[in-house]
Amino acid sequence: MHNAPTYIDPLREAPGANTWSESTWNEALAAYQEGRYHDALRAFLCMLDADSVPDGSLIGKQVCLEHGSVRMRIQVSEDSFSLEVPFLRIPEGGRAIAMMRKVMNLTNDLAISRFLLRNEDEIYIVHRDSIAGVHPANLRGVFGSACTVADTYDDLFEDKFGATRVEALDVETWNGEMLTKSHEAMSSIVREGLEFCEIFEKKQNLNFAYNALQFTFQRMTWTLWPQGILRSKIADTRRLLCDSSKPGTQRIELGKKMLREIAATTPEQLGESLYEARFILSQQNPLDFEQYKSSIAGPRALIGQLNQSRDYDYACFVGLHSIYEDLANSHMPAEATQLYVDALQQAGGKPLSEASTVLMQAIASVEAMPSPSATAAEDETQKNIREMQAAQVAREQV
Amino acid sequence: MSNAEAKLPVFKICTAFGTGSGFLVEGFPYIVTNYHVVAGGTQVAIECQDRSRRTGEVVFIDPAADIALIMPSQLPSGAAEGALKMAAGNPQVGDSSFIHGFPFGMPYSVSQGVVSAVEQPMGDRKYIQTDAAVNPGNSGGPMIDKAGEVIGITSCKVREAENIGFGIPMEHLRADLELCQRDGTGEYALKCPSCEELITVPDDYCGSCGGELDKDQFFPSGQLTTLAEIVEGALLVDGYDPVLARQGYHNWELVVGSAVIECLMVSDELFCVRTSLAMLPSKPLDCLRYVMSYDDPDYTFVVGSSGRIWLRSEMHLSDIFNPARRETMARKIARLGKVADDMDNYLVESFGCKPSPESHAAML
Repeated sequence: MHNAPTYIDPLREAPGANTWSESTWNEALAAYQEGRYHDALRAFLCMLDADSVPDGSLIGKQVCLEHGSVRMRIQVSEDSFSLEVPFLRIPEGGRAIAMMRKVMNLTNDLAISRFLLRNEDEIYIVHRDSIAGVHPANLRGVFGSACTVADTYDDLFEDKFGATRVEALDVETWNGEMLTKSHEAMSSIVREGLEFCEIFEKKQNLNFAYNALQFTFQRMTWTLWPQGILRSKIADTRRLLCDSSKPGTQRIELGKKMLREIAATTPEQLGESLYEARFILSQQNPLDFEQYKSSIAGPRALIGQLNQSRDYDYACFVGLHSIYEDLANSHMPAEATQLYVDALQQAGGKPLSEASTVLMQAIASVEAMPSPSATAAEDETQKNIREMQAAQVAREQV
Repeated sequence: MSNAEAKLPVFKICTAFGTGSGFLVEGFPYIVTNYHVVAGGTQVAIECQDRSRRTGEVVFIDPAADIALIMPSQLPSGAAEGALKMAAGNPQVGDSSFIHGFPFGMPYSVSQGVVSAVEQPMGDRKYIQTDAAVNPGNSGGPMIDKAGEVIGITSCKVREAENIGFGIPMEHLRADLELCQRDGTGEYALKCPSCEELITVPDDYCGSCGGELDKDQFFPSGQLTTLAEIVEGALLVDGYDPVLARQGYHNWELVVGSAVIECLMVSDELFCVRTSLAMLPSKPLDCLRYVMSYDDPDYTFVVGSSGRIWLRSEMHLSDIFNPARRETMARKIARLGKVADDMDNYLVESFGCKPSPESHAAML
């Protein structure tokens, strides 16, 4: 490889990336602290999707929020509230038991909410609590886990166990032209990822070969934001790649196999995982920008060292990996995202030595950026929790 | 019987802040442990190797030597007769050493090695160094020689190093035991870190030598965290002694009928009460239908990948800081024992489940 991979513009924005409003979060916290629990719940729901929250009191009303392929129903009364997410119907036959076991095991991921079987074969995710249980941090956990689990596993369990949905939600599929474009993008990303992987394998650097696979999945995510079965498979493969009980070579083979399988899908098959939907929560993690800036000093310095030793393929890869990983996983400030995208564009197709310098400079520029001034507030409860956590960490260190 | 096989009077010491080990020595009624194991409290739970528990009062602390003495409310029968002898002389480099205790709070275990040094300086003290495995939870346990005599109190290890553990030499323990026996009143007492005076009344200075004392550290108020107050309050209401349930920092375990209930933090923001009830039967369809249809807003079932059926409730920490929510939290903690005790029988009788390997009967 003499030149850096060409840059591919993302075909869509990160789903749900713009839904988080810090001012509404702060409003929810303030209402909770003053004991105005209904107002706190309303503010929290508005933060997720203001368009879906009816005007006036929520008591006696049902609010429906959509996240990917699932619909969440929130029912509010004078002294309680409930959340219900219709999930899957248990299939008839041999796979039923396997799926039921898997579902009951997934309760671990739901934490505070739970699965409930109704009408013989319909599985719901439910959460019922008194109205005082609406601290925004608590709700964030409840809503976040319920919609993530339902949206992640519905397609996967349909595919694996032959389950059907309790409630099918219409999603807007992409047109033929978009699908062809996506398929081409996907093929390039897989090809270039495997190419990096092979270069590092030949050099017997398995760590970099492994990273090349993770990089490819991250790049694929940020460029296409696939949903449905493809998203679940990517998540599953990435989990397996991290399974340190398996030898590194086995994990690398597994990752390569999955990439080849993805590359072998037709545009139509790919289309089943590419659709537009509403997302109430971001699929990216919140970011402490100050902490983030200190974390990128490592890759920036490494690119510098690799450039000095003229290991340009390594240097370019480190830059690309670092940037795509952050773009895919974290909710970056818009200015930082723009800086990274500009650098990827500028580096794309350039000789590796030139490209790696561009990427290193972009990382250095993000490191030098001031932190955004608007931050989410912390209420008394969160402060208490944080202090308790700190005390626990301090004790464990003794 | 070799030292590695013998069950000696070695106990798990559980406090509101952590767990460690302790042991009984011949001629004295106290259980010996490290000061750092009991620091922060005056009451501990003493767990025997048969998992039975009793309370104990800290009656003597020597922070300078890292030694504490506990007076147990009662001892298991035969423990006093089997009390360990203290070795008369110092061990030699190359002698066998056995570390007895409860590493990481796990059940009783013994690790074997040799004495690597007998006067290894660390700070202003000298320690016995061993290459036997020493882990958190071993603190306060006995370091024993081939003859079955105590040669040191397991105290600490070098974190980054492998096979470097330290024991407090017996001369310090002997002196402390005699001091406590001679001058102690049976009440909590501090041995002044500067002189040998026993101090029983909290003060900022030693009345004898004038040495400065960290009053808050050496005379703990017994103040619990808000979470611990709620949990222990809920246990008290149900008639359990919360001290006996302590398993370390924000961690409790109690036996209700056949169920072993755990109360612990499971993530940064979630507190959990749970119990392992039974194992899925080989034909689990009806059982799975039952647990999936179970509709109690306080609890949910979880089936582990090994087939263990758990009943649990997770609570967000925001609940503990809102007085309006504390009652809900206390109810969830207090009710689980009763629900679980009924439920494990029901699962066994109705669906042919096997009892959980973590049930009280199985753990004995």
